[in-house]
Amino acid sequence: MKHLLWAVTLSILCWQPLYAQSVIGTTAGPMQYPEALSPGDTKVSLEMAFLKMPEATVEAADTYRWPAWTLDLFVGLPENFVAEGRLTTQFINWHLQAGLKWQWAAADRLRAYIGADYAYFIGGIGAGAFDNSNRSSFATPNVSLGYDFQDLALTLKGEASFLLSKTDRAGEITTTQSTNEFNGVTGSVYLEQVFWGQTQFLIGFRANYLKFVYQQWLLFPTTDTYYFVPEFVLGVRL
Amino acid sequence: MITSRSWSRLLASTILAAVVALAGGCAEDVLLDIPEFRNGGFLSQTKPLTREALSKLDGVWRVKSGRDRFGDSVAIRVSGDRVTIYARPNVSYLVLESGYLDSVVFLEGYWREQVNANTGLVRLILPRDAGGGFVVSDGERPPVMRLQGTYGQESNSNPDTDLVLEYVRPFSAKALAPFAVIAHRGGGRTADRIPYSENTVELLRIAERYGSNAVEIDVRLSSDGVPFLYHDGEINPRLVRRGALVGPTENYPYGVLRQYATLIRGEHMPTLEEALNAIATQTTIQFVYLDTKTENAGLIAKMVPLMASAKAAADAIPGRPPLVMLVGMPTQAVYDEFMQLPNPQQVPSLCELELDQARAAGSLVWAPRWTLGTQNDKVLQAQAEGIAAVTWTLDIDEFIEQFIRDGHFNGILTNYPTLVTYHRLMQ
Repeated sequence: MKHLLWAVTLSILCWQPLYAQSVIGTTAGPMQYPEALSPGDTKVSLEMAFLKMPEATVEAADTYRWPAWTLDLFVGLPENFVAEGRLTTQFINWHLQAGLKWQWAAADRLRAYIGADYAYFIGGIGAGAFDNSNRSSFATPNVSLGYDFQDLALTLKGEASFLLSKTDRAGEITTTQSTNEFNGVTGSVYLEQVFWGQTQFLIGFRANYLKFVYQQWLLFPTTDTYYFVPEFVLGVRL
Repeated sequence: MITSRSWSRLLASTILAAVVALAGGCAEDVLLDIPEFRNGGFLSQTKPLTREALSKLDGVWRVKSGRDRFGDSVAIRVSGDRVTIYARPNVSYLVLESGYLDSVVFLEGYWREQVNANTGLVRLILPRDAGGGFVVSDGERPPVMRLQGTYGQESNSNPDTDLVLEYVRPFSAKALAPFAVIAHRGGGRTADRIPYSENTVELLRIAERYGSNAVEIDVRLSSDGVPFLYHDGEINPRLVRRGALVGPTENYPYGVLRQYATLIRGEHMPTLEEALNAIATQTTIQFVYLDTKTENAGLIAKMVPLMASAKAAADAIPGRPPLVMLVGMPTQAVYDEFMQLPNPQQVPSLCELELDQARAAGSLVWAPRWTLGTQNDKVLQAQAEGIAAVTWTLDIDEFIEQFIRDGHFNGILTNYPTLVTYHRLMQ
């Protein structure tokens, strides 16, 4: 029922034409839509993502329900290349991701990014009985396909995740280590639209199907199974 | 009037709404059904074997076929009411029922990898000349004992992949020395797709099939003063089917919890009395660690008479090994409450705090967490003073091996009792 309410709410938000304005061609363009950036041009956005951790692993009903905050930076490069850097945090988790994308205009309104990112993750907690940490690195090749509906941009994004390294520590002991494993895939859908003047907003949904979900690094380090972790994303261009 | 822009918005919002609704509808996959042979399998046509006869299978066996799944060597041991084959890769194991016909031994059951959802059927045969005659009748062990058969690669597939095991040696004296394999939460975590929910009577009844001779259970106190088993602080969807109850379990009378909080595999939260009675009368478990999960005053005082009653029930069963139940003290608050009992040193207890505190409380067991290391000096010192030492909660293969090889603990609390048993028996 909760998910149905979310779906209805999102539908109403997307349907609402009262404040909507043209999305493309404004000074504040969309964030995830694969638009070309002139060399040196930048855009910065702030995202807030609500994750639904796998119920099977969450042993305290109110744990890990803090939103994840992301600062996202795009920089235009020559030859239709774009550099992206993302910093995501949940305070006990820090995830830094950087990579290159190449923009391709399939049609006037249909654009694509093809790229690859490298990510480094740090997690640590030292309160109460905990003295645990995790360091991990990932490679994430990705492709985005966006369509400009004039007053709204729809972008679909697919990512593969390869776990390059993962080290858990408890106190001075290295408890688990692993390297070079296929970690799963993430599919995303984003809607972007201008509201209230020239402010660009984003709502989106990410479906993660991953073995190691970095946000749950503290839980179940020995399991070898894929978890489904949905994320609801809200963003605003700064 | 609907414009083309409105249509585009409608299209986009519909896609997003559909994706969100679809995601919300995806159920967590923690319910793994154990595969079974139809109509009782071939065992429905066989005669039962005695435990004494089956124990002739106990020992270390080499894997001739099936190494990809089960590794190079396995340990076979009669465990509870089953024959269990303990392997190492992916915390794999096989749980088998048995029977014989014309001096041929038949074993049927299932295999599992506990770190994932892989499982399947298994059927093994011990032919008369390859050990079947030796197991069924008296006589000498043949030069080559060979269990041969097949296993299914997936839950619903026919067993069609070869599995062949050859007997190598009996267990060493070290492997058979007293050691507590303590199953976490009464046998394991629900998230590991075990046959029953954690902390239930149903799980306790079968805990020995997985190598455990001891269990840890989590005890809380309902609002009307009934000790019951449940791990988390709140009604949590990982353990309880969605229903009317929300919030802390201890805010509810036990009758409400029993009626309205159905556990995820259909069981109810048992009272501590039900759980201890099941352990005492329906298992041969020797050691129960009562993990005191609440800091609500009064729980320990209610636990003590229930422990005494269960001990009396166990003692009344001829041939049953002695049952030891210990009040767990995981926090300073619980320790303080325990020390306010009239004669705390007279109450069997387990202390997770400092060794000095275990001494002061008269604890029978000191239980430091495993990440503090093997602590051999402290462990040997405790043992010299008559205090046993166990460590918790150790699930990592390499460390289980290391702690058993290099450490001196009297037991290990684990979510993977089959893996601890494997390392114990392979010594």
